[in-house]
Amino acid sequence: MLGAFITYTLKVATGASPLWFVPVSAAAMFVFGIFLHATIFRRLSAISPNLDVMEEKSLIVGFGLLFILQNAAVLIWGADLHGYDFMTESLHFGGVVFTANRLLVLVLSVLFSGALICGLRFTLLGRAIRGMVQAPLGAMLVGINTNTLHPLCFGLGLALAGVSGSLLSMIYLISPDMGTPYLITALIVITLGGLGSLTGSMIGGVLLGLVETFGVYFTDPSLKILLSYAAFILVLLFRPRGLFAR
Amino acid sequence: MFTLAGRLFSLSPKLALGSGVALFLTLVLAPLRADDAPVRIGYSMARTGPNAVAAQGGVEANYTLWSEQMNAAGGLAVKGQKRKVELVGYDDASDVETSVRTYEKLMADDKVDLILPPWGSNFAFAVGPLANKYGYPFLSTTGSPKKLLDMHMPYFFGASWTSEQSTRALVDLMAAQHVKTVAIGYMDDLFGLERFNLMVPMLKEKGITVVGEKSFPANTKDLSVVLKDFKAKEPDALVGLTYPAESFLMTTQTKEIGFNPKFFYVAIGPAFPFFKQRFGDAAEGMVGFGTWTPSEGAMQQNYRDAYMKRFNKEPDRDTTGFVWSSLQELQGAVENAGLDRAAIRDYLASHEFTTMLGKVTYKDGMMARASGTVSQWQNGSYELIWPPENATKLRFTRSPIGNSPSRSVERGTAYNKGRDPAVAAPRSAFLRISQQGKIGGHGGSIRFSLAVCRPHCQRPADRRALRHHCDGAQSAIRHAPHPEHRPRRVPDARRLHHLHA
Repeated sequence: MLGAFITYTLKVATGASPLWFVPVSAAAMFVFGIFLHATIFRRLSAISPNLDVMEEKSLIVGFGLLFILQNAAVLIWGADLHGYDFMTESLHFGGVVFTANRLLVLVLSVLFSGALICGLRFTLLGRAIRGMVQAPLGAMLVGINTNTLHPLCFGLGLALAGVSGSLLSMIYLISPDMGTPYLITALIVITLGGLGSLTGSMIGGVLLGLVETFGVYFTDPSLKILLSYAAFILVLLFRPRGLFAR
Repeated sequence: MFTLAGRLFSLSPKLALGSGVALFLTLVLAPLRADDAPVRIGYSMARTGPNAVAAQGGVEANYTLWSEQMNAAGGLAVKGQKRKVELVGYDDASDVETSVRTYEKLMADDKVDLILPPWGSNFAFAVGPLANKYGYPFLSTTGSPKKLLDMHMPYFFGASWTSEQSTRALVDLMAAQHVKTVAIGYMDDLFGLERFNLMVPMLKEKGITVVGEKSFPANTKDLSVVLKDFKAKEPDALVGLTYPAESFLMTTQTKEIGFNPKFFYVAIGPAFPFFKQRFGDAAEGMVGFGTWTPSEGAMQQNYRDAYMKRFNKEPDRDTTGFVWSSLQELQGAVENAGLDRAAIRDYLASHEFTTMLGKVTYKDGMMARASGTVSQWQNGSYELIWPPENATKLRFTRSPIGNSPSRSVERGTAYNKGRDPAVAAPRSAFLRISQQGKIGGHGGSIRFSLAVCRPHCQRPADRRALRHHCDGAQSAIRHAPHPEHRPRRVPDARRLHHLHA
């Protein structure tokens, strides 16, 4: 949501292509992430006795932040509809029609996800992050500075959210509560792919998209949510650790 | 024991004095005070949360503007005596529960003089009966579902078109435009379902066939599957009984897939000035909810100017009409009936008001009229086009939206080829104008188009003949040998089924 509003504001103010502002909103969100970590989440992890409590607390704090940010956006940008037109011309491949902006968003999101997966898998930094996730204490013992790495990861996560908001603003209308529908989708996708497996989440996302689109085509658009939950429940029943869990 | 008695005793003179002063104040000063005390008008409104988008610009802005205008003119006239207006507004955070509690407090504890409605059908559902219970006149502007009106509450007034009235207007307009087939996409909630169920028998009555219908939930992010299905059925008209987000999505995606129906209606959305900003020339010809237009008269023009001066933006052309009209009605009732709420109710129920919406009277708690209104974007302005008697522009042209600016011209040329020139002339002129409108349009073209279109609007027999010829021309285009002339098609349902089999 913030990414979308940052991109929108800059686009309207400068008139330049919104593509320039994708890195800008990513950087802004990264800084914001570091700030949030330093002010809230560092303290949360310090006072939590173990990881489970920490997760519960950060979930509640996260929801609180959600409301604060949404209403802050209403105060700043007002309660009107926002949006801009970008690359709305359609492209024809064979008998199928796409719009340029949707294809661009698809390519960019694949690119960013691919970069994230490769980064985590093949770079030293990526290995350090994975190590920290698997065993925080062990990571510290082998010389990984979790005190700098943790905020970095948090910032990186928010930067990616900024990128996605920025990309979404190219296709959809912008409103303070535009992010809410993605919460459930994200939860289903993560579970579908297998908790902790990034590639799995990506494939899970594509699968969920296919289930929804084909399901809507053959049944009824009103059943879309039912279909995604059905897929979610089936996976939980038969592959409780996710489709691609190791 | 002594000390306690002493204390009680020593207090009592003060108490006596206090109560005496209070009594004096109540008896002597209060009647004096009441006359210049402000008229307190309470409401709750979505200032935050998801409804804030619609509630702020469309509703609360009008409350603010109205009270400021009243106070600038010396106050609200209560049986001839001017009293200042004090708005007591609370944020309900888009939450029905909060809204109900706020109204309960306003009416039972604060005892405000009058109340104004919150935003939304479900809020009206919850607050309407409550207001009726406390005997506060409730002019519901953003939601008068049929079910609520059927409860026949004496203090509840549906100050907007009922779903039946607005659906009737749409169906009549389509029939007048000789629409034969229609595809309908609608929201799967009270708003969409109620209208869809009302619409189907009305369409049948007018001989219009529903060739496609799909419902979808709020927050749908992709309607291309539904729209491609509709496109394959080639309906004359596409109707979306949709909220702003879905209306914008539908407009965008029809453009994307090159679906270009002759009549394109999306309910809530086109009335926002933002619609034009977003779609530019592609907004031309779009039809939707709309209640007023500045060109109707001085009242509408003055309202628009005042709103723009105060809030630095255009008011929408739908909700604002109902809200401003309801404030004018309330003002009229208070002026004549004073602040006695039962008298206000009786006055509202029995008198005629001249407002933004024209002449307004109530019958059984709803607006006494057969049909609502429909508006259309014409030459960069959102104009009232139905019903004919209070429409500012009796014209109907829809420029093709999307990426096929040359298609209508091709149709025109193909049509004119080998046709009787007497019949062909108006058609080609009609097409030229729609083309001009798309390019930018100016005052000149409006006048010109009116002059051209009026005569054959008034001759239904000729129009039918035109339509007949026109269909021939379209099918000729469809089978045109040149690939550029052929509209692009997407695999439709039957084809896909074939592939899967």
